[in-house]
Amino acid sequence: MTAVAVAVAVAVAVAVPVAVAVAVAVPVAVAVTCRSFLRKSLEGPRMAPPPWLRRTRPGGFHSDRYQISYH
Amino acid sequence: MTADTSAQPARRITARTIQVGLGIIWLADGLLQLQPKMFGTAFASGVILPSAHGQPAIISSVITHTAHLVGTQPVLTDLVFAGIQLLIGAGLLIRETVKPALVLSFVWALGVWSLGEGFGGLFNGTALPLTGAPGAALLYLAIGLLVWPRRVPRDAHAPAAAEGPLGEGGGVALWALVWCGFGLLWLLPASSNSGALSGALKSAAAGEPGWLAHLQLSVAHSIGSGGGSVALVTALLSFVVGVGPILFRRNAIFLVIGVAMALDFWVLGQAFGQIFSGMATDPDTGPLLVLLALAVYRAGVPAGAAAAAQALVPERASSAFTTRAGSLVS
Repeated sequence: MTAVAVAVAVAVAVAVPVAVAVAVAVPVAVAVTCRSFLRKSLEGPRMAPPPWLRRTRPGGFHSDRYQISYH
Repeated sequence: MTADTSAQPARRITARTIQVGLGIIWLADGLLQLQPKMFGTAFASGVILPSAHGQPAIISSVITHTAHLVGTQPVLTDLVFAGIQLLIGAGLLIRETVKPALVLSFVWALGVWSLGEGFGGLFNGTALPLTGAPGAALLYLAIGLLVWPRRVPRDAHAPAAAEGPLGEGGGVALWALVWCGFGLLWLLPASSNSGALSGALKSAAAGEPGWLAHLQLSVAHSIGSGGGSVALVTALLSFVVGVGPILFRRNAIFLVIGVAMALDFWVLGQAFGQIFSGMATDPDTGPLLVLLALAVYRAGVPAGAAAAAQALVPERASSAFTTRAGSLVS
């Protein structure tokens, strides 16, 4: 085998798996992107928590009558 | 309770993922069996009967009888063959029926390997890893055995094979067996003779679409009569790919090289399992070797092993860390 033939064989041996990997990865990436986009679209806006459950500081909740704390 | 957020668990490939992959390939096999050409006598005469050539007398006789039997009722046998493979595929996709599906797949794969693939050409000297030796059916069996549902591994990085009866060690041993087997086959005259490789590529190109045949013939032409040295290099690479995961726990590099070689065989020597010919019965060894690599892929080294590795760091580096920590404290 000449040096050119060896270079061609090595180039093909590297290029073929790369091409197959790209051919598989691109549709998979598109499918995953579409899936996550659809999931986010169908999920709708997240509901805000009611004011009386709103956290005033880490570990505690504000109340008119008393302060609840888990500490 | 504190949680170490910096150490994100790596995404391991589970046995369930491999079962689903195997199921999809079995479904593909079943659908290929339903191709129009398969309902004629060509399936018996063109797919089963040729594997009898050059076999020991008893094997040749059994394969020939099977081919005649299939040839007498081609439509019925083809429907039965397709139905069994579709059943295996569907069974693997449904979590509750994985075990019966795997049992059926083991029986079927052994039947296909012996009667359909002529034991992968191991007994008649035509076993070339490039063209699919030692037979795709054996790989179905091996992968199915690796991911037989059995246990949940404690190690968050464990490969899918760790969930099966053979465990991680068995998976790595199986990978080594397959690739060292390839290495040996590459050294046999069927692969290493000067013109064997280019001849096999030219044969594989027959009847394939123009772009694929052109690629195969170009490689055959560039190899020419130097197939012996190519076979030797490929054999050495196969041994490295097979033994590497035994010696090193981080096995990704060996698996990537193995997958790349498997895809080369699949495209150039197997023409995607001759899927464009209308007579393909399965996608051949390429996709199964990829699935086998995924089954033994380890997502990382467990924390205990990493700590042990850290303990082996040279003393100088360790003392430098202590000094820096000490200065921070003071």
